[in-house]
Amino acid sequence: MFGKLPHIAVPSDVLFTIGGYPVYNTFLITILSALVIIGMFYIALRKSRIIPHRAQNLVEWIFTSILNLCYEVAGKKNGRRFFPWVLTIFLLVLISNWWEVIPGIETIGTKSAEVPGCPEQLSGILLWGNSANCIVPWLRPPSTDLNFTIALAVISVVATQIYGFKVLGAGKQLGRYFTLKDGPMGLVVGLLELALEPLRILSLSFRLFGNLFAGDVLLLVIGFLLPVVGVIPFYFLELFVGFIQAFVFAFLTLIFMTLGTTAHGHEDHEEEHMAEVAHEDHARVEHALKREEVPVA
Amino acid sequence: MNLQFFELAAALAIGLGAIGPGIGIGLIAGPALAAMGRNPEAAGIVRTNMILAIVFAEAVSIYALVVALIILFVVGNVH
Repeated sequence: MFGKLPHIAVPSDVLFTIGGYPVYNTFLITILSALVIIGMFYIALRKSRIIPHRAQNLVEWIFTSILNLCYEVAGKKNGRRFFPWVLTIFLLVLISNWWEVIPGIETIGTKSAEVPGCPEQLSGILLWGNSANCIVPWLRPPSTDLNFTIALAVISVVATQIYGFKVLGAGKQLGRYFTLKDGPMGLVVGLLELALEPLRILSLSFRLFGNLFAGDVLLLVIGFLLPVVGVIPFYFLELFVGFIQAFVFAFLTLIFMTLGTTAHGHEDHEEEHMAEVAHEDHARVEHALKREEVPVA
Repeated sequence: MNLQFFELAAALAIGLGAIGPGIGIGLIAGPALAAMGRNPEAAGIVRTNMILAIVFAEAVSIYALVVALIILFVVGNVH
């Protein structure tokens, strides 16, 4: 027997303390993710040119894809306004999720005899047999820690409320929850909507946490059952899940912000906008078709 | 008499909780794929809305997962 089933713990571990403030392994890697994003943009845009080179092309492609998504969902003015939130959340969550597939992230760390079922004496650099899981990892994907996901969800929901007050004004924003115009039923519906706002924090944070924690445990358990080869297909699955969850978190933030800045009784306006977008798409396709018909000299 | 089936409880929580979302995701994705096949021009909008709807269905199974985790790691440790 080469190892034991990895020790699965929901809370993250304290690595060291700075002035009485504990530093967790998930916190450390969140800072690393932010540095990766800053570094990526710095390297790509340090020498930006009109005709983009390879790294600049990648960054610009991410940038314009998300910007176009914002324009399509929220319209020109609000789309530009929500865009920084959506792009920041998307990139941070994406990089945070993809840490999970890097080998060594949760298997390199300090030896610890405090893990349940561990022998007192641990010797050597590599741990084998019964002591295989007696470790406190230095790095652990941030999305597998509820603190990270709840913090992001709180930021998302509070920002949505602030935009609601800013765009609609205090009267209309409060009128969404406390209204007497539609009779007693309208009042109940408004109060229900008010009660649903904090629940968004729950669903947003637990969705990201659940998916990533489950994926993490899946990789560990498959790696235990069938080492080396068994995990290879699951790495691709986790890359995909990490991307989808990052996209979903950013997209839901965008949707909630769009809904939060649309007053009641404006649905027909929205449809008009959708028709406009569809028309633009149609024109673009026709244009592209025409261009292809031109024979290449 | 003090029987404690924490592992069984956790397994049942996620196992039963995954049935509904599984059916739901199938019901969402099937017609969406049919729509994309019939009208490939609208594939982009259909795909985005499909992912959105799948996410809401999937959230239910995530709640089941959270319940299972709580049973395993919190309730199990207290007793």
